[in-house]
Amino acid sequence: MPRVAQVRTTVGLGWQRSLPGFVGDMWILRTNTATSDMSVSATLKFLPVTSPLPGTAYSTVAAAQWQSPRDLTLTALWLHHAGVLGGGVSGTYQFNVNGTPSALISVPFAAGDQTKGAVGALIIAEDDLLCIELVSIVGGLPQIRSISIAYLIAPEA
Amino acid sequence: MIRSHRKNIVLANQYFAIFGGGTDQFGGASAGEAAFYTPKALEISDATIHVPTAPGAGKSVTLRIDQGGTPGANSIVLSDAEVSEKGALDVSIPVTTSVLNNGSGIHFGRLIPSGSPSAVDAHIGIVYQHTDIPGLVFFASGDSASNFAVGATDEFRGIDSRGTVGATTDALARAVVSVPGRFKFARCRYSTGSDNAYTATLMINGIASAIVLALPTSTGGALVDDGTTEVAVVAGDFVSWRFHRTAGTSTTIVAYCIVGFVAD
Repeated sequence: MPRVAQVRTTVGLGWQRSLPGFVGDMWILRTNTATSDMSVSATLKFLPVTSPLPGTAYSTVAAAQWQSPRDLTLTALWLHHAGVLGGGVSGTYQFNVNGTPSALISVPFAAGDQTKGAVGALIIAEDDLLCIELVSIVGGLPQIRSISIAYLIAPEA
Repeated sequence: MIRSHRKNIVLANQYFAIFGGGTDQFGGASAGEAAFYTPKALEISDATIHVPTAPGAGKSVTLRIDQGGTPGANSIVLSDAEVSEKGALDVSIPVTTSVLNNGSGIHFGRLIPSGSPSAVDAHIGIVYQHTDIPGLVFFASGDSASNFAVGATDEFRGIDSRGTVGATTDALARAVVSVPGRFKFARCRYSTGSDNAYTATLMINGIASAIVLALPTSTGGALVDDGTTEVAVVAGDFVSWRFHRTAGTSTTIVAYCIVGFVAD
């Protein structure tokens, strides 16, 4: 069974440079701009949800899960939406590790936002399954145009 | 700063490659593959593959890196009820100057179905490093099956570049730089049509950077690159591509741009 080790710490992006033995890197997950749904590439689309009553919060998780090939520390999550979010829309993005969302890096968004990000430190172990979850969403699903993830990886001998 | 023994991980989707590129989702009877060439020598050590739906009894999917049509020595096989697998690939990819096409060049990755499993998305994590610049990663602007103007489905990590090309067209999407570093080693394979020419510019926060690739008229998949210009960025910067038509009237261009990035 993959293990999940999570640490809570308050960090800024500058912390990445000072952690001995680790180097920072990033993933950019490009979006599928051709569609009007919640796609973040076809494989990062969020699972269908039953539309709740207006104003009711619900959640949905990305369909894509990657199995991490190394121990990593995720340090930042940025999301860029297709446009400024309209009124009545709000929610929170988090990483989901082995089926469980983690609040260690939470990206809240609300009406008027287009780009939002958060930093933190979420340790994931080799073989952990990683994806992104909308842990709370009110209003329609926003269209994401890009996701950027910062991570730390230890150099190998 | 160049660090030794520094490996990177790429998260690839159903089509997979270090830079992006590919033609087929795995499943059915055909192999999905991605082909391109690298401006820097590359070593792929190992990979993971995860699928939401197992291939099924008596069926399998094989992940393998081929070069020039020659199958790689190692492979990772998902079979029957398996949804996750990992293993060593140990492939060295040399620099090549050839313009590659699917089926005729270096196959950078293949998903080979057996027994006609249902077509599903595959999620792959590849561990690799460039041998002369170990911290180097690349971000792709397009895939080998869609072009800049057509809103085709594409599935890769990278910097979105799709949109309708006018005299000046910004990419529809910007990506946020999440760690400080430098962009370098830009390269574009393209076809402009018979009487058109373009420039491809790496944009930072909506402003043209020093990385500008001239794309003169070509209908045969020409190649341009810039191996020297560096553009420094900080966390929070936006990065995107802009295509500017400098000759002709066409509103389409087929362009697959990549740009390297090294974190500070």
